[in-house]
Amino acid sequence: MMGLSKHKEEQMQHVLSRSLAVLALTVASVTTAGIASSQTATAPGATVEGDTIVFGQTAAQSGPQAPIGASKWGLEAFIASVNANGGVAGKKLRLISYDDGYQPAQTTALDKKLVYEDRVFAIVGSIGSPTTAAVYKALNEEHVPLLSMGSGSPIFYEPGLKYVFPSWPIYTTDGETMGNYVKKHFPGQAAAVIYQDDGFGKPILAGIKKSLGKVDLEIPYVPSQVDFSSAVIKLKSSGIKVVMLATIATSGAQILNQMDSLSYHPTRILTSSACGYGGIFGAIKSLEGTYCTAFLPPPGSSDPQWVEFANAMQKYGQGHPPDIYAAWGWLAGQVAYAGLEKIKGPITRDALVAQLETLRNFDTIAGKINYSPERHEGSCCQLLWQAKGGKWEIVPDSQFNGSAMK
Amino acid sequence: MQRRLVIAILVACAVLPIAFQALGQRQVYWLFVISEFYVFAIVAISLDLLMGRSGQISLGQSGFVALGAYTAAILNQRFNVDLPLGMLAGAATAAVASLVLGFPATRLRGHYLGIVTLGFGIAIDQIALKWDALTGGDQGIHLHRPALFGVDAGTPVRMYYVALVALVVAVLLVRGLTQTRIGRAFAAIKDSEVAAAAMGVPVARTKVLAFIVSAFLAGAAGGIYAFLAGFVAPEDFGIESSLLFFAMVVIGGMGSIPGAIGGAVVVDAVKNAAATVSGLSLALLGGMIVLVVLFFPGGLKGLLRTRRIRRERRPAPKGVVRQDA
Repeated sequence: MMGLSKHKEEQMQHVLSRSLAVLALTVASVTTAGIASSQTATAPGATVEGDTIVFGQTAAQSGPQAPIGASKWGLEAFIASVNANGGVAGKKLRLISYDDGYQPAQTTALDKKLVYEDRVFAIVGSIGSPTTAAVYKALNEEHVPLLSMGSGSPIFYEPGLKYVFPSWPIYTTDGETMGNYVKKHFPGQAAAVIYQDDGFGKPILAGIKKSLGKVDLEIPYVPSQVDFSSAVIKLKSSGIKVVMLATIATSGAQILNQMDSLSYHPTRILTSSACGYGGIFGAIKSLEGTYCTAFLPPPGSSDPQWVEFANAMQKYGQGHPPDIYAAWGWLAGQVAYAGLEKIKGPITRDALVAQLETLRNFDTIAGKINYSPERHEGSCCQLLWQAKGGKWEIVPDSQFNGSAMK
Repeated sequence: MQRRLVIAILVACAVLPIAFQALGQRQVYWLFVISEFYVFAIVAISLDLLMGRSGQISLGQSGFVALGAYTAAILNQRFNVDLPLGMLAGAATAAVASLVLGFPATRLRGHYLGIVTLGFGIAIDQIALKWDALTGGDQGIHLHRPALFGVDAGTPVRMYYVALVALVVAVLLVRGLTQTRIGRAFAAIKDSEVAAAAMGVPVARTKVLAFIVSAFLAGAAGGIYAFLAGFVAPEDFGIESSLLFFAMVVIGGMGSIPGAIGGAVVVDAVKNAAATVSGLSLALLGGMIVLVVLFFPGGLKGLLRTRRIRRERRPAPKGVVRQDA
């Protein structure tokens, strides 16, 4: 028995060492034969052929960030509306959307699938800062347009990213909108910021400090944090009268609920990312009076852009409500369409980029967007909503224009 | 049979990029997916070495992968360190860090050890997020194009071979190790620490060694992954990743290299299908784990063994004489 086992082991070692030699030989021959060097990635599909223009998107449809994946339904509704009106230059639009679960590694793999396997024309309306951060440089190098990503992270607005077109206001504008309003309407009141300690919260804090000069208290938190009672107690005991929250939706809801449970009712201002979901009035009982920065019309608004979006969602939204997350997708569709419809002649990626760079004061559901060859700026402006009687209302005299292309 | 199968699989893996030429540019995606799978298989093998061979539970293996990936990424970004050195530095960093877990492991067992390793995984993820001056925080780190001894290794085919060779080396290393005195000590500890100690096995030292070797392999896999993806971010190394690696070992069947690789195939395939096929979700993976634990506790390895035993016990047809009879 032992002898047989030893013999088998020796045999296996022999097999493995021979196999390794075969492998080494193959690797050497394949790489020296030049197959490897011929595959430096040049993305296929640079020119639209056939009767369909295919967009690709990655958005979380699973996991804790799944609600923001509703952006997909807004983009689908936009595409269906365009197709119902004849498409673009006689071509229909189509979306391939994959679930990246808000995991950058998954986004990297899925974008390779979209670009090289599905041969999409452009990546449109992908959602998330870390997920988009994983792929934006590669897409730019491969000359694949990355349009209207769901993020205002400053890294996407840097010059030199010819194929990257953000549409959200940069996160610092979010902060400046809050700071300006506080400076104007609550002068001299002790103000604090509680912010997510990452690439989302820090630029908002920077924007607030840029407009306010200084804040009396800054409290960072990590995204996985669920208990904010010590932070709320600190705010209350410090006599803070105005609290600005640079938080995502779940953290914002937890903080406001803990403020309420501790009978602490300062002036509260949330960021746009914290108040876009439909169930917010149920999730936060003490929401009345709370402000929120926004670059989209409030849900239920009579703004013509919102009405058009809401009607399309009713018709093509496959049962999904016309909420802010879906509106992000609608905005992405608007940006892509604006560039495409201006193309005369063959529809190529370079032609799309050239046309997008001519857009000035282009009207979208997120307000006016400006692009130029030197600057891909996205939406110029933000304003404030206020929770009144179970719905959001626009606060007069709250608009902030952060555009450098005014 | 087994010998022919191993050779056939290796040759198939080696010539795959040649066959993929027929796919044109589509091969960029497929080579990436398979390369990524090879890297995950290394992590599964590293975790199996710990759990399946030495009987120590770990729910924080992605922490070691993260250490390897970040070490390689930081060295590459700041000092232009190329792939082999970056990978080895990543492996070494993870191995050193494993001492943090290895020493508690000498005192803890079972669930308690699982909790400690879970805490380690979460801590690494959070450190990567918070220490943004070094790690780039949630913005992550973009790597320079990988090089292999001064030669560009950034093409999909070359990265494929890097990952494949690394997997083969990991298999040989673990297989070789399990056949040595150390491997037998791992097995003895897994069966009974008391009996192993009575036989003269230095239990504490052997358990720490299992953590070091496991972390070294996971760190090396992390280093290769960083160069393969060209980007690292904390979100990729959270508890979810650790649980996926855990699932690979459980589904594959503990204590088996083919099992770990098979588990990696299943989990990676389900993960990719859940992302791209509408209506499928990772819940499918959860359901599979429940089914495996309830009905096939030996995983794929146990399932194949049971089938083989049944086949061997089946009476041979008249006139046929079994060779092994």
